[in-house]
Amino acid sequence: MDNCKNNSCFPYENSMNGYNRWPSRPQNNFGCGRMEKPQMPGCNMGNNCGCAQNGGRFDNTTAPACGCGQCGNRNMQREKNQGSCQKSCCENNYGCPCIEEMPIAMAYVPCQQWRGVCSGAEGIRQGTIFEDLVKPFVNTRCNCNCGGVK
Amino acid sequence: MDGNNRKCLFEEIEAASFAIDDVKLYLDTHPNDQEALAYYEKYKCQRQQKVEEYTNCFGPLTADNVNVENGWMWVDTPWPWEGKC
Repeated sequence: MDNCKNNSCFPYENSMNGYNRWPSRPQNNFGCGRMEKPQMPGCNMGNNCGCAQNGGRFDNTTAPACGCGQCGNRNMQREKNQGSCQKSCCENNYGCPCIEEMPIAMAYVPCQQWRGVCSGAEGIRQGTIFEDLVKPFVNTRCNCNCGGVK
Repeated sequence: MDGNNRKCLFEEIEAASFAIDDVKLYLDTHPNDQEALAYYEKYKCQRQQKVEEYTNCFGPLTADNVNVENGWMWVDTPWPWEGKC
């Protein structure tokens, strides 16, 4: 709050005569200023993993069959992305190395890939035809050493 | 023997139906995935074939499978709660 006052963006600045007047336009990011709008990962950030390292858009016609990088923005300019970021994110779907580049307070769902698909008989037994989605939720929130509460 | 065959056929239909339902969800987000489309086609054909086989041997599974040449058989075959299928 002190920071805000020092930067003259406290909602009610003191006027010369001691009365408060209407707040001035916020000037900074100390909690009282205008914040940058969070940027969604995807079209403008290289790929669905939110990786910004390559900085550019990419041609989704060259995207892998897994669908990673498919973009709903039809107006985007298609440019070829020959960097490694897109590829590495798709190959390493569950541990995107670019996570540090992603905006906080947003939820991300990795793109599913067509792999490890089983038969219908096996699928109905385990509840999914996708091996990637077979999760050991047994009497715990999760059984993957991630702090699940028993 | 008849019961075993019936149960086996019904399980195959269930498995194929499940595979179709699950791959359908994937195709909703990956509509051009050729492998997924092939998987869908495979189980769709398999299900149609098994349903036809079941219907011919044991009667209709759903009302739209009733063959009216034999009259209205829908009420003649066991209901699910009778534990026959």
